[in-house]
Amino acid sequence: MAAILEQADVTTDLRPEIAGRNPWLLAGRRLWHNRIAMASLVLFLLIVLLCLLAPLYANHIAHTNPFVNNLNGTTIVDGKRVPLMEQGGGLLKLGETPIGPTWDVHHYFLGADQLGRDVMARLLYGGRS
Amino acid sequence: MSRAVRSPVRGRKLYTWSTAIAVAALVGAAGCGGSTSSSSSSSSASAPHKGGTLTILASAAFGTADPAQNYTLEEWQLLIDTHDGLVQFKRVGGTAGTKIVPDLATSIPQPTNGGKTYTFQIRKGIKFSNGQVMKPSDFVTTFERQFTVPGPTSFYSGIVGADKCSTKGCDLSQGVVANDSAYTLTINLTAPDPEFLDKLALPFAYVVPASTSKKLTGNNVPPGTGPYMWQSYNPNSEAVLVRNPYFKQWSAAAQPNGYPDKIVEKYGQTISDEVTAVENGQADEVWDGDVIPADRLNELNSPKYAKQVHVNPLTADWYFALNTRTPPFNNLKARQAINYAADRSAYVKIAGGPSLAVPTCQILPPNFPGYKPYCPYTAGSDTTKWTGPDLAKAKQLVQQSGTAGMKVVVNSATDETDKALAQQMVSDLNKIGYKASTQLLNASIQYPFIQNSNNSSKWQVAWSAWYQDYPAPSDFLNVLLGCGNIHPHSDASPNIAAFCDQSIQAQMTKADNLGLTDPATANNLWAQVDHEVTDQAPWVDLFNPKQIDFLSARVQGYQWNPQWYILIDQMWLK
Repeated sequence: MAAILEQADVTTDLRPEIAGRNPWLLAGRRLWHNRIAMASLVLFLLIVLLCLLAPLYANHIAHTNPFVNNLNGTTIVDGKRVPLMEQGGGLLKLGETPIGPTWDVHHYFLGADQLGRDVMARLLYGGRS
Repeated sequence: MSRAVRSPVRGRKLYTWSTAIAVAALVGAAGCGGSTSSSSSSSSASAPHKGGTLTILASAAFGTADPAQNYTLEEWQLLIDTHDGLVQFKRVGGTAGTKIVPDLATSIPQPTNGGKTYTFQIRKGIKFSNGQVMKPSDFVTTFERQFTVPGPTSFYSGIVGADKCSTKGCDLSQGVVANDSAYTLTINLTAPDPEFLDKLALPFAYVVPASTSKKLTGNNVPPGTGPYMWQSYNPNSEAVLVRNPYFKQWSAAAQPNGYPDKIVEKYGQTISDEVTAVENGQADEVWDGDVIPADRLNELNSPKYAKQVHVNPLTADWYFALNTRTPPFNNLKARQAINYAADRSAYVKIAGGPSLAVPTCQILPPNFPGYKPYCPYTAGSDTTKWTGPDLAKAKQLVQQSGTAGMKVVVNSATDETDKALAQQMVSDLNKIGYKASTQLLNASIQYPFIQNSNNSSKWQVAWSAWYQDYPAPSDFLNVLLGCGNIHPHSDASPNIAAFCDQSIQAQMTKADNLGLTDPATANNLWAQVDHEVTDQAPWVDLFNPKQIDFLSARVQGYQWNPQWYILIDQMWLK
């Protein structure tokens, strides 16, 4: 008898704080109080925003065109102008290696790809797809 | 030879031999001078021995396998091991490899009849891989197939009777006279040809049985007489060569027996994956026509691979053909505009940098007969070499041509490097006011696609490459830009640009004839032709490449032959 009564209590009892409330609001509230989820949401929105601002970044911050090859281009690293592509070393000197991350938002932040294009700008544009 | 790739003599024999050897010496000296080239055997840790399976990885197959039509380095490197001709380039590395030696002929004959008749004594007792005895009359079928399949017929169009041959039929009984009793073969030409022995050394002239179909055999390779035979060829997976049980070596110089028991060429991987596989010892060779992507080259500089990487200079061009049939490049100013705009140093970087490519504007490669440096499409006033693009001039020419804003399709292959070259060309075209885009095809079909006029409305710029068939200016200028090498509706039409200038053609003919009696004047005339063709800009010539051979650690006996490049069956496995 007691077990059946308990089960009846679970199925019919609603706590005062959720009774009559919109389930979406309830979900939102739970999310709001979940710090890890909130941090992830903020990060996601930041990424979306950055991707939407890709043209702004490419044209006004990095000053690169990520859709055009730039194999003979240069950039500034530690105040010095350096080529984006560097010839390989060793005896054979094979290949051309693109510059790696400079960690400078104005100068190839994540480096260049094999065709001398700005990786950061291309990453942001790619996020818009 | 088309690629890698992707192209490729009496009284005048003397001229052609000495010229060939001189050219090869210059090429070899140029290559050896850099101290990074290897034209002879590397030191080996084991003595030469037979056995094992040598595995080559190629990103794509080579299209049709019929030797009458196939014009690729990729198949030729295998055909020289499975088939033979009357004569052959000596099968050794280094400059000695440009010498013509007798193969199925017992000796090199002196031409008679004013240089128009060659009579060969044919070796007896040689069998095809199907057990049939090879006879002189087999050569009649071989040459007739050139016209009925068809192949690039211009090499043998000087044979008596060839002018009446077509895909509908060919009777060369007056031009190729076989005597199966005396075992002789007599070839009659309409005119003396200083390059004829070179042409006989090409795989088009390798003998097949007389019973071979006069039509394209597709992926079935007819039997040959070499130390290997084709067990199978599936362009979607692999080609397999195994030993020919009927082969007995008759000339080490022309056709030495091979070392591996089996040669397998596998298709379908990306070139980057091929490099990884060879590094890991899972395969033995990245096919040397596959251009190793730029992001993999730096690791090959490691001392770890010092004995596995070989770099050799090539008499070759990498270029974009401009479709002269349709706008915008039926307009000379438009063609010249893109030549001024092309950033050749960027293309060199895509190819791996200055160690692997040298920018060029003209058709003939350096160290070639008739080569005199010329580049009108450069910034600055020095027209002997390219120093940089001239965008202002390019834009001016585009405006003058009235073609600004036109759509341009740039055709290339899907390989990483070929794709990057196409993207660079799109970039160069867009800079001067065109609306360019890429059209990428698998390498196995891209070359026949751009040759066939049925497809000419679908592209305006097409990437291609050419490697010498043999050291003669006509092998570049006439084969690739001569009026006689536009074959409508054919997959074998090497004049991809469909360029035809009768005045220039007349000069080519004159230079060809002069080569018989006055080679020096002939070379000067070829130089003039080279410059005039360059001025007409049927191509955007990009660079002259160098070749990398990357081999696994167990491969020994590497040799680089200036005609055939890596000698596959002359390597053995540790």
